[in-house]
Order: sequence, then C-alpha cells, then structure tokens
Amino acid sequence: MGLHVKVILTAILPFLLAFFIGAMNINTFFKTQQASLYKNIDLKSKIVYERVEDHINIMKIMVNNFANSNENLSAVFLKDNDHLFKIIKNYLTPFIQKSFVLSADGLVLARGHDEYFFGDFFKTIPTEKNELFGIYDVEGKDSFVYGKKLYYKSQYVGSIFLLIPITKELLQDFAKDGDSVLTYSSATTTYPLSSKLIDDTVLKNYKLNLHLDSSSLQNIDFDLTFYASEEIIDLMKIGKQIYLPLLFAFLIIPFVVFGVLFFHLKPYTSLIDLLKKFSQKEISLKELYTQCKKFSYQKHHEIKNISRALEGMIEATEKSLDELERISITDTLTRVYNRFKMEKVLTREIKKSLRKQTIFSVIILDIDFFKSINDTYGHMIGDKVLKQVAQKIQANIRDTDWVGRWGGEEFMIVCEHTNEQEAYLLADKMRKIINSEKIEETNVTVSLGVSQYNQNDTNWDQVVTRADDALYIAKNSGRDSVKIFRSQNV
Amino acid sequence: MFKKIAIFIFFSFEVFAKPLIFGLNPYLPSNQIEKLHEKLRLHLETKLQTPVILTTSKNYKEQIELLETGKIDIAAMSPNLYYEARQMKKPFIYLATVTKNDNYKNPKPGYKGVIFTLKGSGIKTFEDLKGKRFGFTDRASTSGYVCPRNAMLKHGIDPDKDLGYSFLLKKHSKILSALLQNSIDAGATYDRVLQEAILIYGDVFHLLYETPLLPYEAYVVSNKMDKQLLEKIREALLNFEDSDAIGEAPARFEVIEESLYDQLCI
Repeated sequence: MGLHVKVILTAILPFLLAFFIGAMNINTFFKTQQASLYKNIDLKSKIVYERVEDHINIMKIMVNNFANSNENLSAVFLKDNDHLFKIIKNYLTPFIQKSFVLSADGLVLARGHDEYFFGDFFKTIPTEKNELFGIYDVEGKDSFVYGKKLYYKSQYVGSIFLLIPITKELLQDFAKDGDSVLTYSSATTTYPLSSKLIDDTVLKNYKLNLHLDSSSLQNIDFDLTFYASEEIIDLMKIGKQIYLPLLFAFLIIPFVVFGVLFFHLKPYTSLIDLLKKFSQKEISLKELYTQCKKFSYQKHHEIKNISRALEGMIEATEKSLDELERISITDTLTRVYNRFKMEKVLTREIKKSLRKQTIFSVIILDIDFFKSINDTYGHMIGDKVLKQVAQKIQANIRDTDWVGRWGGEEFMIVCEHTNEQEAYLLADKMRKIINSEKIEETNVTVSLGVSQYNQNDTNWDQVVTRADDALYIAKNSGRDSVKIFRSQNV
Repeated sequence: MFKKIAIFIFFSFEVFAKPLIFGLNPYLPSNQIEKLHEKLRLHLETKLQTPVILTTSKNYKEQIELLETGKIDIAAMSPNLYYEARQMKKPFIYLATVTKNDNYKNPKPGYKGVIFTLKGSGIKTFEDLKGKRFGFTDRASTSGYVCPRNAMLKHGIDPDKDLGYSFLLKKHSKILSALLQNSIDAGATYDRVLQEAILIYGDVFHLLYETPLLPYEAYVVSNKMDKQLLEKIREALLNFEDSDAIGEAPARFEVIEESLYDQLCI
C-alpha cells in the first residue's frame, strides 16, 4: 500500500466515521424534535378545543342563571321588555355579542344588544327544544347559539338564546397561540378568507367535533391547522439540506486530500525513485548529487532540507571516496602513483592505442646502488632519496605523462603520444637532472630503460618487459645511462 | 357622584343630622329624574337645614313599600300609584301636588295620558289595535298603563285579550323609541313626550286617544313622621318656586283635593 493511499485512508476514515455519527445524531435530533413538536401540537389542539368549550359553558351558565330567576321568568311572562333588556344586556361579552328573549310563539321580547329593537319574530332557531346548542344563521351571521325554554309557574312562556357570532376575530382568539389557524366553513361562510392554508408548512390538521344539535346548519367544519413556525421551517430545511453538503464534502474532501498529498509528496516519490536508481547502480553518486540539487530549488517544501542534507552526505561521501581513491593509487612514501594505478594507466593506454592506433612509450627508472645507500646511510635517508627522486621526476615530466613507483627503487613514466626517441630524450633529461645535484649529501644516479608500444602488443606486460629489458641493459652497461629497447639491443 | 354629594351635604350641616331620603317616581331614567329635581333638593335642604338625598325607585310600586318600611321619607307618587295607595289605605299623609311649566315656562296645571301610533301604521281606531303590538310603561303608571287600559276597555278592547302583544317598557321615552324602531305598533305615554316627539320628528304621529287633565305626582310622607317636620316639609314645598322650570322639572307646589286622585282616567 503506497504512502498516498495510506495517508488518504488515514484522513478519510475518521471523516467517514464522523460523517455517519453526525448523520445519525442529526437524524435522532430531528426525530426527537418532531415527536416533541407533535406532542406539543396535540396539547395545543386540546387547549383550543377547551377554549371553545369554555365559551359554550359560559353561555350555558348565563342561560341557566336567567332561567333560574323567578323575577326573570315573571318578566318574560309579562313581556317586561325593560327588565329583560337590563338583564340580558349584562350577559353580553366581547364574544357573546347577542342575546334574545323570545315569547312562547317566537316573538322577540328583548334583545340585549339592541334596546329598542324587539317585537319581531325569530324563525331561524328552533324553539321547540328544551335545551339547544348549535350553529345557526342568525341575522345574517353564522353563530354559536345556546338556548333554553323558559317555564313560569310550569307554563311555557318563552326562550332565551345567547349567541356568539362566528367571526374571523373569534376564530383567531380560539387559536391565539400563533402557530395555528382555526377555519370555519359552512354552506355560506368561510373564515378566514385568506388562502394561507395551502402551503407545505402545514404540520397537522384537526377537525373539531362540537356535538351540535341536529337542527344546526349542515356541512359545518372547524379545521384546526397547525403551521410550522419560521424556526421550525428553517429547522426542517436544515434537516433536508444538511445531508447534501455533508455528502458533497465526503466526496470532494478525498479528492482534495489526494490532490494535495499527491502534489506535496511527488518530490518525495521522485527522490525515492532516484535513491532506488542509485542503489541499483543505474546512476552514479555524482548523478545522484546533480539530481538532488534540483530539489534544493523547491520553495517552502521540506524536501529542500532533505535534499540539502543528502547533498551534504553525497559531498562528504565523494570526498571520502576521492581520498580513498587517492590513497589507493598513491604511493604513500613518494606521493606519486603506485603500481596499482600505473597498471591501470598501462591498461588504458593499451586499449586506447589499439582502438585509436596511437602510440605511447614507457620509461622505467631505477636508482643506482640504492641498496648501498640504505646500508650506508640508513633507511631514513634511503626513503628521503626515494622521495626527492620522485619529486624531481614529478617536477620535470610533461602534463600528459604519468609517473609512478613501480617497485622498490624503480619508477615508471608512461608517456602518451610519445615515440621511443622522444621518450629517450625525456629519460635522459631526467637522468641528468637527478645526477646534477646531491640528494642528502649523496650523489645519486639513475639508470633508465625506454620502450615504445608495439602494434603487436596485446597487453602492457609486453611493453613493460621490453622497457625492463632496456633498463637491464643500462644497468649492465655501467649504470647512469639510458637505453632504448630495440631488437638489436636484445 | 351620588355618594359624594351625599357625604358633602351630610358634613355641610349638623354632623349627626339625619338626612331626608326623597324617593322619586321612575317614569324617566333615574339620572334624568334626579337632575330635574336637583333645584328642589337644594331648596329643601336650605329650608329644612337637613341633608336631602334623592333616590329613584326600581319601579312605581316599589315606592309604596319603601315609604312603608321607612327606607324613604318623602315619595313623589304617580297619580295612579297614590290612588292605589289610598285604595289600600296605606298610612300615608298627602303634602302637596307638584305643578310644572310647559316648554314656554307657562304654568301647566296637569298633564294628559295619550295613546299614539305612527301615521301609516293603519291604526286609526281602537278597533285597529286588535292583534297589534302595544307598548305600556309601568303597571302603576297612570298615563302609561292605567288610563290607556281604561280607555281601551271603554272602547270595547280587552287589552289582555285583544292586543297581539303588550310590552312593559317602563320608561315613557322608550315608548317613543320602540315605536320609531317599529318594535311596537302603538304605545301609551303622556302628552309632553308626544309634543316633544312632534317637535323632533315632525307630524308623523297619529294621536288615537288622550285622557282628561291629570294631576301631577302627589308628594306624600308616612304618618309616622314627626308632625312638626311634616309641616316644615309641606311649607318648604309650597314655598318652592322655579319660574324658569320647563318640562318635567318641578315649578311649584299646591295643595289640591285628594279626591281628585280618585277620579283619574274617568
């Protein structure tokens, strides 16, 4: 599993968990709120119903009070309008807006709401029932009516009726808690007239059953409709809409996380690939160093520090390797190349000559009577002699020449693009320089053998052997001389 | 207001003086009645050096009971009520009879009861009252009940049987309002109500009947009253003179033959 996938999963899993827990909590919250809301609505509907009943009960109490007074009954019997008016006028309230006393044959003896208007017949309410509650069209208005027959000395003398006209204000008062509307509808009347009822904010609808007398107006409906308040509507909207953003976030966030991580981690991946290539030896340390440099230019990214650290490491490693290489190819005493290096030089020159048809020459230099120097002056002086001879050779060779300690007191010079004559001249020049001044108070001479690469040579042994042979000749011919290997010399 | 006046008056005179309670006849709304009698009340207070409190009874007949029980000291009884009291031999003593002015401040020795209707009602004779809605005032009212019933009987109409419906409206002013509202077809009241109605509404009324001149209210006291006080009250009444009085306000008092109250509506 890649780093990206791991990081993305690490980021998404808690989010996923939080999403589901959040969604469950929201769901539970809404269900609890809804249950509480509907319970509250049921309670409020009962309150509205009780308000209606309270009004009806007040009418009942007043009617019964009237009917229980002998003075009132006598006034009905005598058609004492003045007395009746005074009494039933007091029954009027902001809701009970009309009161009537009728004679036995339906003549209005008094109206509580209109002192001088009486003497007419009242036909819209049935008078034959002992007690009556219903809704009737009285004087052009649908009204709650409660009435009772009146008996004076066991004689039916009339009736009393109290009326609550059904008005918009009355319905508003019944449902005055603000979040409900009580509507009334009959064949002729509908309250309220506004069409607020038709919308999707309706929470619940109740029908009020008022047990009206059968003689009441027909097809009457009291609908109590509860509407969602603005807060509830907002809550419902949130309930419906909250999942979409969450889902959207759930879908988008992984992509965003992936993108951010992808672009952020890309340099790390490249660096890892680079290190992988290095470990598989596909690139060198130098190439690794060069590639690492590129990461140093990344602004505001940790990779810059990593690459710089790597660069430092590579630089230190290279330094160590250089030192190792230098140590591995350098003669520790004389500071010129050692035999290992010279063999490599020879191998390379052989290959180059074979490939490019070029030439080179080899000079082998041997310090004369070096053993006696050591024996005479000690190894310390012997070593110093070796060092100074090497320095002189080093100081006088050409840029294209290679010098190394070939063994004991023997040095080798490999001269690129040099024939044996030119090499001879160089060798002789060396001989003269070394002989020209004392080294550690000792006259040091050297013998040199020169050989040129031959096209038949397939390895460096052959050319070195010939130079060595020429040195042997120089040694045998009195030392302090230079000899070129030629076939006639052998 | 009533209480304030009473308290004021009470403390204006002797702290412990017993106020005289003056019971008025409720032929008009109580506030109107009491306002009309305010001058007289002040006159009595001055003359008697005693606080005088006005009160209007609930109905005509209540005055008899109130006077009998001592709840009022003086009663202004409607002629018929005084007649009934006399018939019942109630222990009352007659002091004087009030007289009033007409609307032009001319003395008016008595008043007349009337039965009237609206022109166009179709009622032109007593016969036409049959089956109609009729408005009386109080059952003890002379002009609003007793006289019109007598008149009907004289003209062959039994008010209890022949009238369609008869209402008791108590106040004379209400007879006019109910008639104009078409709540009754005809009604009984006294002449001044009709005269004032004609002034306001014009010649829209039809006078069906009027009584002979009737004496105004009789001012009576209980026979338990101290004789000295009784005489002082009578003297105070007879000394009362309000020449500016118009309408129902008392203008002056006179002593008439009590027997005149026995011949009402004849």
